[in-house]
Amino acid sequence: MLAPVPPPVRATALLCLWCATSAALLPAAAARAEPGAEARPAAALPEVTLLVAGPEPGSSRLALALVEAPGAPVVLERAALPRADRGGLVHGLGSAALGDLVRAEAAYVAADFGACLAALGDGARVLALLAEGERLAAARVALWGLACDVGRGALAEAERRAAAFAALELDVPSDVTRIAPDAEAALSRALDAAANGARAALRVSSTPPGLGLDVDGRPSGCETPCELVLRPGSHVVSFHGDGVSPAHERAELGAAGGALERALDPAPPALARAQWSARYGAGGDLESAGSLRLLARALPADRLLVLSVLAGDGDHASVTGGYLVHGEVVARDARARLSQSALEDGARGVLRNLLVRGSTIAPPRPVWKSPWLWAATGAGAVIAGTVTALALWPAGQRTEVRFQ
Amino acid sequence: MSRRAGRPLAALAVLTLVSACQRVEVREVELAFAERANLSAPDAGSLSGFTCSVPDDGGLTATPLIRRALVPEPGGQSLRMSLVLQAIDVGDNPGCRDTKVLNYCLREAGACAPVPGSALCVELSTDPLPSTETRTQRLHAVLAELVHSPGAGLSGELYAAAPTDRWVILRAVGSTSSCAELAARDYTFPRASLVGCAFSCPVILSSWSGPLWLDSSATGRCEAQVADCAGPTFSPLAIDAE
Repeated sequence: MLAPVPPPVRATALLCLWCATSAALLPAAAARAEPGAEARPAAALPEVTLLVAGPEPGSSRLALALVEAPGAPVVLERAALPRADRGGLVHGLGSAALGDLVRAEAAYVAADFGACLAALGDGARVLALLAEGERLAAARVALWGLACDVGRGALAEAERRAAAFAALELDVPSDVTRIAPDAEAALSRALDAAANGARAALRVSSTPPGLGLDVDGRPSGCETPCELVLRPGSHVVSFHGDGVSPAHERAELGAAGGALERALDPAPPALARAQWSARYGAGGDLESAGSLRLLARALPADRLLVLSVLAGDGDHASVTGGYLVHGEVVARDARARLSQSALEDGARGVLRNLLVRGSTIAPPRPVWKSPWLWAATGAGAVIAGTVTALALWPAGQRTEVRFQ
Repeated sequence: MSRRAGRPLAALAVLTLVSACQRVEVREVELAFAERANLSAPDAGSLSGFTCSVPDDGGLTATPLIRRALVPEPGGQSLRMSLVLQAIDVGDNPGCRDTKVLNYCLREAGACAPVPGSALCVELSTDPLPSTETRTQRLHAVLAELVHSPGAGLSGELYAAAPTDRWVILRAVGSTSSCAELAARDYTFPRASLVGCAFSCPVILSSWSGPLWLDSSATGRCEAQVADCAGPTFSPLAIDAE
């Protein structure tokens, strides 16, 4: 005998059917909403340089896994941190000047003042030495030049050299005990005059701004744009900073002051590597804006994504990341307390977030924006409605009356 | 949507439609005769409504109506009768107590008429019975057994003419007239041919499932009640005062 199905049971069964239909359809819709699932031609994928820092060999394996992961939305090119050397920063020191000074002093003793001056070079050499920070060598070259001019009777030239010496505020070297007293007197007069004279302002600016300044071989303590108060005369201003090639500029400062402006060239990769190694190679803030900019120039890379794996407590680690695009840091992200098994997924998540925030790849479209979701929901609703209508539709019923 | 994803959906839709189209609910109402205890035949009992008797002239004695069904034959007496099942259209639900039903049918004149074409007539007969089986109490048991015997009786018989969508009472009338005679009389029963009568509670058969009992509270000298039960308007006198 068949008994009629109670309505609550039928409603529950229909609800289950509807849920099952939706559950079957929604994942497919969600999968279609994921842009990463769509095949794109490899040529259209942006190239991003990936640098993973952290304890080895884990960081290398992680970088390899990220680079070789199939279906990545970008082309990842693996890079390594520059080696910590300062080779690019080694300047031409004043060692050559030391030999010239020996030869000049010998000529001076021999009263061969022409040879003395020839050994010392012209007046620009002092500024060149100052540009390289060789203030002692510069002071000695200037002093012996002064002495040789006095020796050969060129007193006006000697006075000019003394004034320049004083304007540069060079320390008087111990060589002064070996020169003629009248040369020493000329220097003393110039120093006295400079000490009592007025100073003038030199306004210095640069492109890019924010560069450090050395004046006459000494750190000025200010960054461009900057106003320096100096004694009138010839000076040499050195510009230096991360990511630029150092430059020197000669400034002739009058009593009324003056201005100096200089556009600097970007640092070539080798110099940028040296700069990065000098500043950050010893474990500095790898993902700071300055570090990322230097690295991008050092590698070089238009799009640079840096991930740092930091060991945490126990077996956990954290992943931090920074993303630089065309010289600007556009995104940062981090995942903390990742187990070793979740490290790669966590790193992949950071990488994807950075690429999304940096507008390199499109963010995943929300599921509710997917037309497939609504198509699936609509289809499910139609089916559920049809099933409901059919189930609630009065079934064909036949009643049989039969004797027991 | 891809064709691969569309195929299961289409199959599901087709399956749903097909299963919905084929969905026919078969509900079964089991007709059953209520029985009363029978001291002579404890196993078989007596059919309710079939134990009435009619007073003889003078009223001192009474003859059980079932004895009307005894037919003399060369080998003895056999039990032979027709059992007619009919649907009585009551139009409403007066309640199940038989007094309520009967009073309702009295009050609502013409409301309790048999549904035309609803009659099912079955002829019941036994072989010649031994004399020990022809005593009245044994006859009641024989009738009960006969009704329930597979093949010869009503067991498993389908009552296909039953109207299922309105309030009806199913009535079973025993008569010594043959089915042919009764059909010729449009299933009106000669009073002298009545053997018994039982009826069900008012039901809408399409909303009923399970057993439906054919019963009667008439006992003793109740031939008049059997006649009223089997009457053409099913408007008998009240058996009991309410």
